[in-house]
Amino acid sequence: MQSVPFHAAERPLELLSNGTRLDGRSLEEFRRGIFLSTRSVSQASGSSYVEFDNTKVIVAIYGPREGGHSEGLYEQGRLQCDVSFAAFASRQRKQTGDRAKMSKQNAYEKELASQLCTALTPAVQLASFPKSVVDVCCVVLESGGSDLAVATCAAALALADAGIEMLDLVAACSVSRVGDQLLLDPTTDEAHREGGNLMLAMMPTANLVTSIMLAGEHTSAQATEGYRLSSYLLQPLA
Amino acid sequence: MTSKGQRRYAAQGIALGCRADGRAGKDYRPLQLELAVVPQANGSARCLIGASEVLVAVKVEVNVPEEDFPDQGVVHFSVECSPCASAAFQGRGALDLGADMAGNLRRSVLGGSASMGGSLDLKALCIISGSRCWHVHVDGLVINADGSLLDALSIATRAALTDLQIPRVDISPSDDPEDEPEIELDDDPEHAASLDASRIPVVVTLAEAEGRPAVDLTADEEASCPGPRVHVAVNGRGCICGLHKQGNAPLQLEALQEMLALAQQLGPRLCKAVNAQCTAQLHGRRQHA
Repeated sequence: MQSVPFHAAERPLELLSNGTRLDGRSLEEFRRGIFLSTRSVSQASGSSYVEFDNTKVIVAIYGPREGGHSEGLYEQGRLQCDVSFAAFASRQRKQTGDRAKMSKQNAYEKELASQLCTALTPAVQLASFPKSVVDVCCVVLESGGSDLAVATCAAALALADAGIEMLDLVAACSVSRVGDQLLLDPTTDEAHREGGNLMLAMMPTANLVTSIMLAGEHTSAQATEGYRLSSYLLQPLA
Repeated sequence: MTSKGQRRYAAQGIALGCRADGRAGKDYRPLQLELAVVPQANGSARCLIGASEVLVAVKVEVNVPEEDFPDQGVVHFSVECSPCASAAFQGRGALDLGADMAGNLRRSVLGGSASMGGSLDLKALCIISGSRCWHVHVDGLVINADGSLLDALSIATRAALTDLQIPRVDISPSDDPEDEPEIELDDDPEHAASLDASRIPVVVTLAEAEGRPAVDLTADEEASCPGPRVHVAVNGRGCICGLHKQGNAPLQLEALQEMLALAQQLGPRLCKAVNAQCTAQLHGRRQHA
């Protein structure tokens, strides 16, 4: 007998009614319940807790510490990122028994970690901690959509809290393309129906892109519109 | 290992539009494709760009679909960087690089998280909705690393999926209606079906030196360009299907736009070249048979 997962609610079929989204937002609006705080983990050099409605993320920064020899020798400092989801973060409980599913989850977490690293590294003054490593540990408590973007904002905040020298804060956001509509800061339900997505991380004051990622077919107009939208709207976020 | 002088020479070559091997900024090295090189796979291709060499093999198996998408097949990507290919591939670095490139290929071929904006028709891989579908494993191997690996891998992926032959399945309902229907595989290659691979994008990797963009960097040039590299997946119609920035340096939006425009110009040409080589070989094989 196969186990039948229990889902609290079915995924909605329609995402838009009269131009507004299910949570009452317009297409180009961030989620309203944004909460940012620092010093949430007392043991860490710096930390932050960020909420975007249902997406909840804790980031803790440890270090700088001496870089291990196993990781090779680097003249400059290095960021080492780690992303993990809480077992109860998504609709589907994180698999701990099934090896195939576990390795898939691990691969996903690793991918997010490497993307987080790409998004943060350009903003950090790596020369200020030569031959050392700064650990960025990120836990997603609840995955409510745009997880990577929220984690990036939270991690930048935590790095600043830890007193790591940076060129600028990093702000990030996602845009999902559902049909022909571009939805800013999508929720999980919206991302479930997306045909493509874009994630942009920027240093807003310097107006430099630290990371950009796009998937799914876009005409150049859609892509341009996507990053114009995200870069423009990132300004107030930072 | 390149010296400081060599690195400067390579970077200046890109900036001036005249590179060490005589190419201009937007010239590719010669492209060579060979289909059906792995007999035990359902589809395969070997791609050479200059000295860079990669092999992509596609294998299919019958398995259960994902719970969220009961009437779609599943496509897995993996890339292995063999330690023979480059001194940089010793140890853990190669694993991370391979996983990165596999993720990039997956995003460019399958699109967003729901795999809906992708370039493959995943519904065509469904056998029985909710219980059986094809799992397609796309496995890449880097044999020689002389730059532009992701470009080569994406070209080989497109070619291998063009070459892919999926066996026909016969579904016969079992006697007891409670049981699952029986699935029988037809071994005859005459009855096998192919997948529509014409919308699969190829990746164009761009770097820049002093504001001049360049494509198809050799390993030496990659080591010499300190700026960010941008991987752009472009399909035959010039649509952007994926975008990924690599490297520690930040990037200006204007520079990015310029790179995207160049990629959109080069991508369709590259697709055409790949198509021409694929059709020539498939045609040759048919005549041979």
